[in-house]
Amino acid sequence: MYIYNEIDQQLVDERVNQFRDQTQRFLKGEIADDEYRMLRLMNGIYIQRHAPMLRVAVPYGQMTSVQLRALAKVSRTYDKGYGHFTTRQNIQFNWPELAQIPDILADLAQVQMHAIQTSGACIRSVTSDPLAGVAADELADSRPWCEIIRQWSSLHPEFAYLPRKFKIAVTGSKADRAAVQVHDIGLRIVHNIQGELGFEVLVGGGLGRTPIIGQVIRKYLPAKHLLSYLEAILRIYNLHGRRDNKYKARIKILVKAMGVDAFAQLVEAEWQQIKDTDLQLPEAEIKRVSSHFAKPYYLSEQEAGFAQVNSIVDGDFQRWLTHNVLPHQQPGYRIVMVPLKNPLSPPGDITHQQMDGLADLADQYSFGNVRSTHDQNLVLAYVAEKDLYELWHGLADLGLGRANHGTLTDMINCPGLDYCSLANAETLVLSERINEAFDDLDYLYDLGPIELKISGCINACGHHHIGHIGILGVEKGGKQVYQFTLGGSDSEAAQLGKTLGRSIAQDQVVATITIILNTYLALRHGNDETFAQVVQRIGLLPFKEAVYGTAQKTAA
Amino acid sequence: MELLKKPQPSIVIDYDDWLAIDAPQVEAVKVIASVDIAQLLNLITRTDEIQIEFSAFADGRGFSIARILRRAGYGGVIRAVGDVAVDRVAYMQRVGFDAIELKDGEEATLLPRLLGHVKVKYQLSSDGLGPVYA
Repeated sequence: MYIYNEIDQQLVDERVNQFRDQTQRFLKGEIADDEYRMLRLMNGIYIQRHAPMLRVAVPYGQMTSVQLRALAKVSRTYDKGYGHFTTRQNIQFNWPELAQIPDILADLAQVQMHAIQTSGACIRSVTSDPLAGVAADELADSRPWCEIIRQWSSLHPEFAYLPRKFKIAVTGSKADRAAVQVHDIGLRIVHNIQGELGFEVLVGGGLGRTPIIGQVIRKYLPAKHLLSYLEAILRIYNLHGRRDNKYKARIKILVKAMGVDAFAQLVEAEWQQIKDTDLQLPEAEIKRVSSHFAKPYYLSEQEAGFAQVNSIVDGDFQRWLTHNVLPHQQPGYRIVMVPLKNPLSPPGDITHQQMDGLADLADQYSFGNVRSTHDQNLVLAYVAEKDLYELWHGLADLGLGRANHGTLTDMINCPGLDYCSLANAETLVLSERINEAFDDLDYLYDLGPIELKISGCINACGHHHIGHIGILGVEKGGKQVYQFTLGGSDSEAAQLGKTLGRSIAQDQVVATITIILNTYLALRHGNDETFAQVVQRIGLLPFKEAVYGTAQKTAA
Repeated sequence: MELLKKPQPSIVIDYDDWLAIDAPQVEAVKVIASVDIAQLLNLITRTDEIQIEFSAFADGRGFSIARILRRAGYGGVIRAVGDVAVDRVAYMQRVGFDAIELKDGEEATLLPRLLGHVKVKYQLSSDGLGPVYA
């Protein structure tokens, strides 16, 4: 975990003062609405349907227990006692008072947190693999590079007024748990033939109303050139990205319009001019930042391990062990997924009591470290096998022990019309009904891994394009209806889902999901063929026939 | 405040008009954000001041233009005109602007309070500061 030095701390403290001053001047009428809008957005504040919304950065999903407790305290003191983890690993508070936000940020600065660039047309908070540093399939830890990018992009003077928002994701594993192919820039850690660390650079991916899978513009970038290459891409985008239409302003549209080769040439020419300047990362700086992410003091395999964990006679525990616990790169340790998918609250929501309780469990069982994931869950990443059973009891007591990780009800979901002023349709009512209808865990296990992703408008915060089942809420003739897509994927083989057919009425959404699932169960070749594999094999037609055929019969 | 001290030149010619008369040596040229930068770079020795017009608060192209001009060694005045706004001045100074023209009603006295509110600079830019790690 990166710990701020004096300079890092000074920056967040000064940023709080600056924002306090901007907000006070706005409240006194000294800054115009439009201008303050851009200033507050750059610091994570939206004005939503009911109140301002504050989005606090959890850079690349890493938190300490101390930070999680501070977030709990913010939600208790300034909000309604809960927070909402987003699909970009950050946390949102939905009910703060604008005048109090500077105080919230001052409290957070004390625990080395901030809201810098969590919204606005600038370089957003960098995201990564939530299993960085512990994943069994990892090439290298992505976190030092994320921190280097965080610092470089924070208050970058040249790139604060980009054509549109700009998102960077980094992964250090072959399996992609950071969705790098649907980011403005995706970075994959790779090694060259000499075994030296570098990056494969993808550009121009994104969801929203024009979903596009990113393309590789450089197969191997030596690590020391990371910042100069990013700067070259950003400069070309800042100068050439469209500013006449905000729906065509993302870098993906520029890359598509120019062609990836022409875009790469511009970047290359710019990069040649800056690659050998001070932007080149000194070995000492890479070492300094990397040292913050050194392995914790693991117990030996003998001390930590507990081979009999699989034979503890407790059915509920065994189900949790099977579904929520993943292998670890350190012998004797496991990774514990903590789904924030309580059937009674929106996906990603967590109460202040749960935050405090989880912080205690992290201190006790996971070196005080907690991570957030892009599918709106949390992770305890350093759990000794011998502690699993106790930890499970602790999580269950907090209402965080539900063994539905990776199943249909581990869905992701934007807040939709209930909170968001951009939304066209409700989404939370869907997750509520889906949870009600599919509450039998054995049925969910039988269905196997299914990613259900729901967005309440075309901006696609719920990532519906890359769900195995995607649902997009739209408004048609004053009614909220839902478009289904099937066959999307956010994995290393990223793929955009295809539209199933005409929109479905809100009260038919659960019935439609049921038909899709039954079709899958009837057509799969054995229990091992997953939903995604079946869609890949047979295409959408059988699902279309099942859904729309049935609907017609019902109507008749 | 240094940024406010540089007097406005008496004559400023629009870039396109300047090109139309084959770009003779002038006191000051005003460019818009969509200017052809490669072409401008060939002409920078012929003007003592380049004014970059910000047509809208959200338009950030001028920041990159200033950065590129300084990188190319332009030593004249670079002035921000148009929708400047005090809250952007600190960033403007970092990328290489050394003169600004504030909007009507924006009190110049506000500037000392706002400039450099955040003193930490992580990145290399045009203001002579290296990146924080250098």
